[in-house]
Amino acid sequence: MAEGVARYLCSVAGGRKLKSVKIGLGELQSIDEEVFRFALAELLRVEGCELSEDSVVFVRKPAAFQCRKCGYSWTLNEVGLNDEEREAIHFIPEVVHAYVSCPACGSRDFDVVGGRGVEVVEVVVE
Amino acid sequence: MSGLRRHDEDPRKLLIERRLANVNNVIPVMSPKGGVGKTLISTLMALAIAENNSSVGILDLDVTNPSIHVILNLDPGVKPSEDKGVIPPKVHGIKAMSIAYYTEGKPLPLRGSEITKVVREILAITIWGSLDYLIIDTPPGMSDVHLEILSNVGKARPLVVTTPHILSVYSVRSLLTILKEVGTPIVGLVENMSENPTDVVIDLCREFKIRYLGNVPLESLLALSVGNMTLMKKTRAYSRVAEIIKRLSS
Ligand SMILES: Nc1ncnc2c1ncn2[C@@H]1O[C@H](COP(=O)(O)OP(=O)(O)OP(=O)(O)O)[C@@H](O)[C@H]1O
Ligand SMILES: [Mg+2]
Ligand SMILES: [Zn+2]
Repeated sequence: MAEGVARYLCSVAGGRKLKSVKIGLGELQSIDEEVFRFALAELLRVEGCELSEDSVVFVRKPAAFQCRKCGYSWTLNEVGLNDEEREAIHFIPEVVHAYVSCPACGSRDFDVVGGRGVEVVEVVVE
Repeated sequence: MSGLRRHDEDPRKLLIERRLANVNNVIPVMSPKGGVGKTLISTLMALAIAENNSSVGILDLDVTNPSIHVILNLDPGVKPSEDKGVIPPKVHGIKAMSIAYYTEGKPLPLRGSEITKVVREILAITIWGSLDYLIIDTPPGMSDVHLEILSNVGKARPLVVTTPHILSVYSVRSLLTILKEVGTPIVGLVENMSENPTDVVIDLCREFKIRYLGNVPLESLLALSVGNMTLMKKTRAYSRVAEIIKRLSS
């Protein structure tokens, strides 16, 4: 995923210097901040557009769900997931619909209203 | 322009192209009509390509109803390995990727917008390496999966499957019209469940100036051979598809 973000940032920079970036990390994809920071810096170097590691700011986005059948809202704390399930969701967040259903009515028809995956929130170029 | 910008573009889109950079032929198998044999033909194609000593991958993008893993009889314990993406395991000489690796056989109902996200995610994370062919099984219809492929996989060249039945031919006509409108070249059309080429299908190919690749007979052994590749390779259907593959690569 860092690769996609690196390519994207370089395309935004378009030859100019990247000053700072803010990246949202969704709880469902459970990405390790330090690994991501390192990978992103490396990949940016490969793509030929540099940015110092400390100019990357991460914001954690908690996973949040809302039922389309009964309207109930909940977070991951309310449902238990084992390690294998978390790992599967890490690769493809939408498989959360295989492992989680609405705590109020049992429906799997719910929206992931926050904390799905990696998103570039802000880029500042010089 | 400098300064602050909000970012709504999806970084994954930029990855997809790179993941497929060394795949020579990307062939989504499509038909608007359900049950005409897309999944079986996709699998037979991949088997025949592997038998030819060409490198091949198969990608199951019927994400709410995957079945390639059932046909190939994948061991539930085998999973893709992870290394800056996921590397699909090789089975029967085919690199096979499916959402089924991640659902433990549980049902996965998804809204359209989520199907789009899944397709994009799978295309962005899967490391195919170099392949002669990537066969993509698609769900029936002309919806999220197909549109995502047509919009974001520039090198996709669909193969269309139909039966000789009027309802299937009728639906295929609208698919061909859409593909023509967006200028996507089609590798050709396969007529399934048909003992002989039929005029109605041949005429359709003529009308849309696409290749009639061949007919595949209706054969009970084929349905019975699901999960058993040795048996599947003994079917007439397999031989016919192998001929079609030869024709495709010539
Ligand atoms: N040539 C054939 N001879 C006999 N049975 C066939 C043949 N082709 C397909 N079938 C059978 O028809 C059914 C549908 O096939 P398949 O699942 O490949 O179709 P599909 O187009 O992928 O369906 P869907 O639209 O649901 O994805 C299966 O039971 C399959 O075994
Ligand atoms: Mg199918
Ligand atoms: Zn509910």
